[in-house]
This record gives sequence, structure tokens and C-alpha cells, in this order.
Amino acid sequence: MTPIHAFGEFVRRIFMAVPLGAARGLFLGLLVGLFVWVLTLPAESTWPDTGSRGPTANLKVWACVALAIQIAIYAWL
Amino acid sequence: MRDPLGLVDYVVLFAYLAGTLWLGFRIGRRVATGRDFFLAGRSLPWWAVGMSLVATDIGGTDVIGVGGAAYRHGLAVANFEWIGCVPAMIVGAFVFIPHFWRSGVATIPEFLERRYGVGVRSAVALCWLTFMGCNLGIMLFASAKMAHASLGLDFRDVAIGDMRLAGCELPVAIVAVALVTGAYTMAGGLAAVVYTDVLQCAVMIGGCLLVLVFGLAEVGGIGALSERIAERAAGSGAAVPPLIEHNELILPVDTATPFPWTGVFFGLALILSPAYWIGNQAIVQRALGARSEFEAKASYVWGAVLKNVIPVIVAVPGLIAMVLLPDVADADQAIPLLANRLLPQGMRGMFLAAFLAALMSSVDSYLNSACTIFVNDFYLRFTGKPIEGRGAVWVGRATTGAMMVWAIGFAVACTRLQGSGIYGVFQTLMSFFQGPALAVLLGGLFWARANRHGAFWGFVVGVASAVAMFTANQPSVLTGLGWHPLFQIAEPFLYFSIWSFVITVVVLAVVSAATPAESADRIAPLLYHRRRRNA
Repeated sequence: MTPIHAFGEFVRRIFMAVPLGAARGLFLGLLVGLFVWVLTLPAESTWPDTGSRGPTANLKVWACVALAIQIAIYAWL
Repeated sequence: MRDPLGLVDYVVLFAYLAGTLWLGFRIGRRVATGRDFFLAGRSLPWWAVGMSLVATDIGGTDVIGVGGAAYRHGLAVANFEWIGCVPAMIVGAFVFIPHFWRSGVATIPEFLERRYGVGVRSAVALCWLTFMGCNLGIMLFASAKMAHASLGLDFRDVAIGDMRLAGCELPVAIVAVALVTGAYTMAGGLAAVVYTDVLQCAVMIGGCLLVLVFGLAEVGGIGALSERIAERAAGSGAAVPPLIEHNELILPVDTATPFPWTGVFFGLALILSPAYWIGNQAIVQRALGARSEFEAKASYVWGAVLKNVIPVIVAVPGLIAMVLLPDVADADQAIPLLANRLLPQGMRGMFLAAFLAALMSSVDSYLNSACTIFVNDFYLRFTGKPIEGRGAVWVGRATTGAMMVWAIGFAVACTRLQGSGIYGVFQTLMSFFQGPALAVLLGGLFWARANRHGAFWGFVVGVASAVAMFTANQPSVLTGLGWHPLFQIAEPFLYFSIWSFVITVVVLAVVSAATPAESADRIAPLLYHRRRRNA
């Protein structure tokens, strides 16, 4: 057992102690955090410079759709 | 015994191949300058780039291999398409891709030279070029081998398992696919690659969808599928413990699969996936060819929406196979056997076309991007010639041809090797430099103090550390040293990427702090926050 092994085992034991529910929370936290971040993006970075101004032209909507599906998947499976 | 492929199957296959060639050559007539060839003249629409992103990411081996992995390890393999893609694509869409697009670069290494210098550009470009060159051969070889062993496309004795196709030797099949792909890629460059990818993406999704729909119909729906997997797990007792995990995405640290949640979250979601979606030239290049900054962003968002569907059509069939065909010895045969069982004559041609579409859409992208790196980061960089010239097109076409010949040679050489671990080795190779490349890229974008010395040595030491971890984890080395394995899971490439990323960050920070800073005026436009503030 080298110091690298000892360190690796130490890290492994820490993560072994994390319940799977908390791990799921980490996955969901990342996705929810991104979802909120997308909602706060300024309009100039999500709307086209010219052309259509309909709701489907807003990238924020589609990014939220993609992330919402992810949140549902990781909450359910 | 199944019916052989019928006339309709051959018509579908022929129509797909003919359509691809026609489209590629038609687009090739518009290529006039190097910028047309390597960046499609910055004329690509968001929907085409988004579909191309997805098609490039899914290779021929994925269509069969992901289902096989789901059959073997369960749904956790879908993490690679979900948390391993969607978050990085969304962040890439709004942070990195517009930044690169505005910079006007043709390659990521070119951006790194502007930020750090030619040493970092050349080191990163060399790594990508080496990887892509080898990966091209491996993709051809692995797909042909998989087709030979699993699809029943027995190229040697004309028998095609339950299906039959005009047979040929395995190397001939490699050459045939490579020549068709190489021909339209040489003719049309990035535009041909992207527009044929659109066709290939549609064919790929359609073909895989057939297996999913017919499979779910036979099993009795999603609910019945989940119940039958659970029944199998309950009935298996302790003899097959991983079966219990087949319905789960998040697996414990001590799982018997290569997908513990720690590796998936820290290695895949936070390092490998961002490195792939914002640093892989074969991926980013098509967004750099988008006709506006907004369309570059939109392409990534559209790709992320599409990505949600992919595991459903490539991984879930593996679970269906587990229920309908529980005794398949080689998991990679699960999907082809399932297709054989489920699809009527006339639809098998569609599945074969989906397999070829997935293979060709990846090969053409890596071919075009390897060529772009060679021409842009080495030939044009060191000869001083401009990209805006007819000469660059011909050099690009010649390089594409040479790369194709190299890939064919490499693939054929692989057929002479004994053992089947080479594909896994090359998957691992990618994890050697993705973490270090991401660390250098992030340092360059977000930390003004990061300099050329720190980036260069951080990258070199990071790659060396990943190679050292891989070497130290080999059974022969472990036995020789009398060590226990460094990692407790099989194929720990996710962990290589984590540690090599961390080591690169540390070396980058220490060396940068100990050496002179870059000129603030020179790097200011390349830093994310400075540029955003000035916008």
C-alpha cells in the first residue's frame, strides 16, 4: 500500500459514506442550478439580433425544455 | 432462422448511400476557398449544425455498443448521453461557443495560440491530431468488426447470420465505407459533412426507433419492461447482483459496473463532457461554421433538446433485449439479434442504413476535423499561407485523402491484431488529454494570470499523469510492483480524467504564478469576463 493508495482509499471511503439519495441531490442540484442560471440570462444573449421575435425564437425556452426533461429523468430514474 | 434481406432492404440501403453521395458532391460544387472548405463559409443554419452535432457524437459502434452496454450494465450507460451531454451543451451554447465564434478562429488550438502562444497550440493540436488519426481507423475497424460479429454482416463467407447481404472480405468493407465517406468529405468539406449528417441523423433515429417501437410493443410497454426487469432481478438472487441496478441511473461507488456515481458526476459531467462539447474540434468546428453567433448558440441548444431522445432509442433497446433475449453470451450481439427478431423484411434495411449512417456521420466529421487541424494548425501556421485561397482547398482535399488512406491502413492493420481490447484502449486514450486540455482552455478563458509557461507545462504534466495512472493500473505492472489496483472499478477512464484535470490545474497555477504574466492588452479580448464587460 503506497501513499497514493492510502489517499485514494481515504477519498473512496468518504464517497462511500455519501447516501445515494444525496448523490441524486447532487445531480439534480447541478441541473436545477443550470435551469435557474438559464432563466437569469440577459435577453440579448438568448434572442436573435434580427428577424422573428416570437416565443419560440427565444433560446431560453428551448434550453429550459432540455433541462426540464433532464430534471424529470434524474428525479424519476 | 430469419428471412434474408429482401429487395426492399437493398433498395433502402442503396437509396441511403446514393442520397448521401449526391448531397455531398452537390454541396462540393460551392467550395471556392479554404474558409468554405473548413468553415463552410460560415453559412450553416442552426438546425443543420444541431443535427450534425448529434450525428457526429453517435457512431456506428454506439448504435450497437450502447445497447450492448445497457444489456450488460443497465440504464446507467444512458448517463453518457444525458448528464454527460445536455448540461455541457447548454453551458457551451451561452458561454463558450459564442466566445469562440466571435474570435473568428477555425480551430480550438488556434484560439489557444492567441491566448498562450504557439507551444500550447502545437501541443494540443498534436494530441488531437494523433487521437483523431487513430480514432478514424478504430471507428472503421470496430464498426466493421461489430458488423461482422454482431449484425451478422459476415463479410468473409457471404453468410450474414440471419440476414444476408452481398458479402465481401472485412477489409473490403472497410475500404468501401471509407471511400464513400472520404469522397464526399473531400469534395465538400465541412458543409458536405454537416448536410449529409442531417440526412444521417434522420436515418439513424428512424432506424433505431423501429427497434424501440417494435420491442416495446412486444414487451407490453414501458411499465411492463420495468416490471419484467425487476422480476428478473428478484429471480436472479445474489448470483447476478448488477441486475438489481438495471433500472437505475445513479449507481453506488462500489458498483460492479464502470459507472459509479462519483465517476459519472465528477469525471463525466464536470470534466469529460465539457471537454468534449467545448474543446473537441470535431464537435466545435461545425458551430464555428454557423452563419451567425445566434445560430451557433441555437445549434447547441437544439442539439441538447435532441440529445434527450438518444438514450431512449439506443439504450432502452438493450433493456428490451435483456427481457426478450436473456441468454445472449456477447452483449454486443443483443441489439442486432433483437433487430433480427423484431423487424420484418423491408425494415431491416432501414436498421442497417441507420448503422451505416451513424458510422459515416462520425467518420466524416473526424476526417474533416483532423484535416482542419493539420492544415490550419500546422501547414498554414508554419508556411504563413492564408486560409482564404484556392490552394488551401486543394491542400485540404489532399490531406483528407491522405487521412482516409491512413485510416484504412490503420483499420486493416487492426484486423491483423489478436485480442479485442484495442477499442477500449483508444476510448481510454481520449481521457488522457481531455481533462488537461479542458483545464488549459478554462484557465485561458477565466484567469488572466494564466500564462504560456503554466499552460504548456500543465498540459504536458497532466497528460503524463494520466498515462502514468493508466500504466500503473495495468495488471502486469501491478504484479511486478506488488501493488493493489489504483482504482477499484473496471476501465477507470472517468477517474483518469478527474485526476489529470486536477493535476493540470495545480501545475498551471503554480508555474503561472512563478513566471511573468502575459501582456494584459493582448489577452484582454480573449478573456470571457473582459470581453463580456466590453460588449
